Amino acid sequence: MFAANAPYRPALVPETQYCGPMPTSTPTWDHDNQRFVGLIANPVASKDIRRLVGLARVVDVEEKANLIARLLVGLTAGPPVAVVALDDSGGMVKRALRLARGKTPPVEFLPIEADASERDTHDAAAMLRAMGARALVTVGGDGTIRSAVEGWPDARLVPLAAGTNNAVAIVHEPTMVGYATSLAAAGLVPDDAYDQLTTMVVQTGAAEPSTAVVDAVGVRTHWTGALALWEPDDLVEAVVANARPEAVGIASIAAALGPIPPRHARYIRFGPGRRVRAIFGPGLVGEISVAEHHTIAEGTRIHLASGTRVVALDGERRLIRGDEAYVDVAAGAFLLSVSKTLAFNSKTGGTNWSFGPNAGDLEE
Amino acid sequence: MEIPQDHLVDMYSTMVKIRYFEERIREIYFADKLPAFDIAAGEVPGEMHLAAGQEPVAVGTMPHLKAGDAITATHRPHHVAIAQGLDLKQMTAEIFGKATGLGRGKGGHMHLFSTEPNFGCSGIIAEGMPVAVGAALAFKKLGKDNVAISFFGEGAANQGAFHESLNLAALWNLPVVFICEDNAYAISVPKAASTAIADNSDRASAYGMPGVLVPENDPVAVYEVAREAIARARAGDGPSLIEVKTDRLWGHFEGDADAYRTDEYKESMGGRDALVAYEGRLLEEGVLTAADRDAVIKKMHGEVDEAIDFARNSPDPAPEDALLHVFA
Repeated sequence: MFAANAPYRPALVPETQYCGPMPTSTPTWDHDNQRFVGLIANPVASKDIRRLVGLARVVDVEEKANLIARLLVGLTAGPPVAVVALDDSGGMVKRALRLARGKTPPVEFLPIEADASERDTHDAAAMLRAMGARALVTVGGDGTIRSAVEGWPDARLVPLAAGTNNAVAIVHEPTMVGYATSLAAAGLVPDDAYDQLTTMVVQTGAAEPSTAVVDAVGVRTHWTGALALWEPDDLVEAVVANARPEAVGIASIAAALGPIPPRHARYIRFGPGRRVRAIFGPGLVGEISVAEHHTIAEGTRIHLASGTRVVALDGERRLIRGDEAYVDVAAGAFLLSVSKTLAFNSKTGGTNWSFGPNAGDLEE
Repeated sequence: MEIPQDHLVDMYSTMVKIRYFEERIREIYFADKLPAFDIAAGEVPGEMHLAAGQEPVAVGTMPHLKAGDAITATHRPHHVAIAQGLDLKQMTAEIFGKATGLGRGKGGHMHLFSTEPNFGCSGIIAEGMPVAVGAALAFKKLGKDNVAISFFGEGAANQGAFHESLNLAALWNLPVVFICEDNAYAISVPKAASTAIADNSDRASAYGMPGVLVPENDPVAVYEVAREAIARARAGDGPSLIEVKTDRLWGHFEGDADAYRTDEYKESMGGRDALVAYEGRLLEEGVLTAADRDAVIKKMHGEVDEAIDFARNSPDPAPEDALLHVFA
C-alpha cells in the first residue's frame, strides 16, 4: 500500500537516468484523504524509423517535459489533486517540475526503476491501480497507452499525445487536459465523459496475452526489427478498433472502410480486392488492397491466418507468432473526453470544487 | 520488407567472428600482463578497447554498403573494422604491432587505416566525425553515389566536433550517416552525468536532419534503420543521425576494474547478449540449422585463429624504419 510522505524518492534511480538539476520541491499532501492521479511518460515515444521512411516529427525529451509541465500546471486549475508519477528514464517529469517552477500540484514518484521499456510502464500502471489512482495520464503515443492498459486494463485514461500516430491519444493543449483531468479525478464529469475502448487481447503462444488499443496486425515478415509498420506488402490481416476517421496508421484503412460501431472492431484481410487509401503514418500516403473485411463484436475470437508470422500491436511489430495465435475482441479501458468534461464544467458554473478538497468526489 | 537470407546469415557470421576475435585478443592481451597489470608487457602492448556486445551496430550497417563507401570508427573499432571487411590478417598484425600490419605496426589497435575498404579510426574522441563529413563532401563534389558512415560513442556527442559535423553535413546536404553507439558509459562516466538530454538522436532536429532512436541492441533493427538512412544519403537526400542503445559487455579498456557499473547492471547485459538472442531467433525461424551454426562457428573461428597466427609469425618493424611513414 502506498504510504509515501516525502516529495521525492531518490533511491532506485538507474545509472543512466536523469542527473540534471533537481526541481523545486512540490507541496506535501494528505496521503490518506487527498485524491491523486497517475502519470506515466514514455521518453522513447516518437523516435522510431518513421522519421526516415515518412515525415514523422521527433518529440524530444525537452518537448515532452514541456507538455508534462503544462499538464501539471493545468491540474492546479481545478479541484485539488496530487500526482504519483513514474520517474521515467528520461527524467522528463523531473524536468517538467523544474520548468513549472513550483506551480504544480504535489508530485511523488513510484518506487519503480524505469528503463524506458514496456515493462516499466506496465508495472507502473498496475501499481497506480492498486494504489487507487483516480485516473491515469499517459504521455506518449498509442504504444504507451497499450503498455499502460496491459497493467491496468480498466483504467480511466487521459492519454496525452506525444507519439507518432496518436490514433487514440488526445491532441489538445496539455494545460486544458490537466484542467479536465483534475475535474475528472473529482468526479465532476457528465455521465458520458468516458468512452469505453474496445481492445484486442492477443495471444501468440507466449505466457501472457498482450493488448492492443487500436490495431493488432498480422505481418508476413519474420522479424520485429525496427518495430514500426510502414510497408503495405508486409501486411496479412488486421483487427482494428477505436478508429477515428482522422487517425493515421492501420486505423486509417479501417476507417476508410466505414465507421466501426461502438463496442465493435473490424477484421481486415489484405489481398487482391478493393483498393483503399491508406495513410500509413505522418507523411506516408499510399493505398492497399483489401480482400475482405467485416465488423466483429466484443466477445468474438479471431484466429490469425497462417501467413501471419509476427503480430504488430498498435503499429509496432512486437510478437513472434506461436503455434496458436488469436485475438479476442474485448471491452477495455475508459477514455476521458476533455471536451465533454470542460463543457460540463462550464455548464455547472465552473467553481463547484471550491467547497472543499474532495468536493464532488465520485463515490466508488 | 523481408530481409534476404544471405544478409541474415552474414550478419550472424560476422557477429560470431567479432566476438571470437575480441575473446582471443583479450586472452592474448592478458597473458603476459598479470599478476601486476603491466600495460607495456606481452604480445600486444598498450591500451586495448574491446567491443564485445556492440556487434549489432556494425553488422546491421554492413550489408548496405558498397565499394568506395567511407567508414570512420572510434577508439573501440574492431567490430566495425571486421564488419566492413578489413583484411583480418593485416588488421591483427597491426594490433600486434607487426611490420605486416595495416599501418606497419605503428598505429596499434586504435589507429587502423585502410583504403580498400575505405576505413579509418582514432583514439581521439569524435575525431572521425569531421573526417566522414570530408569524405562525404568529396563524394558529392566528385558526383559519386558513395556514402560516408561515422560511428561514434555517446560521449563524443558532447564534443564540439559532433555539432560542427552535423551542422556542416546538414548545411551542405552531404551523404553521411552518423551512427551513435550509446553504451551508456564514457569510460566510467554514466551518460546521464555528462549529457543534458536523454537521447542524442534528439539533437538531429537542431540541425535539420532526421534522428532515429534504436532502443534495442538488435542487428535486424539496426539493419532496417541503416538501410533507410543509407539509401536516403545515397539518393542525395542528405544526412541523418541514428542512435543505437548498445552494450559494452566488458570494461572500457582491458584491465579496467569496471567498478563504476553495478554487478546487477553487468549481469543484465549478459542476460540480453545480442549474439545469443540473434542466434536463437535464426534457429527458431529455420534460417540456420544447428549444423549450419556449427559450420559458421568453425569457419569464423578458423579465420580468426589464422589471422592471429599470421600476426604472431610476422616480423616486428625494423628499428631503422622507425621514422618512415610517420608524419607530423
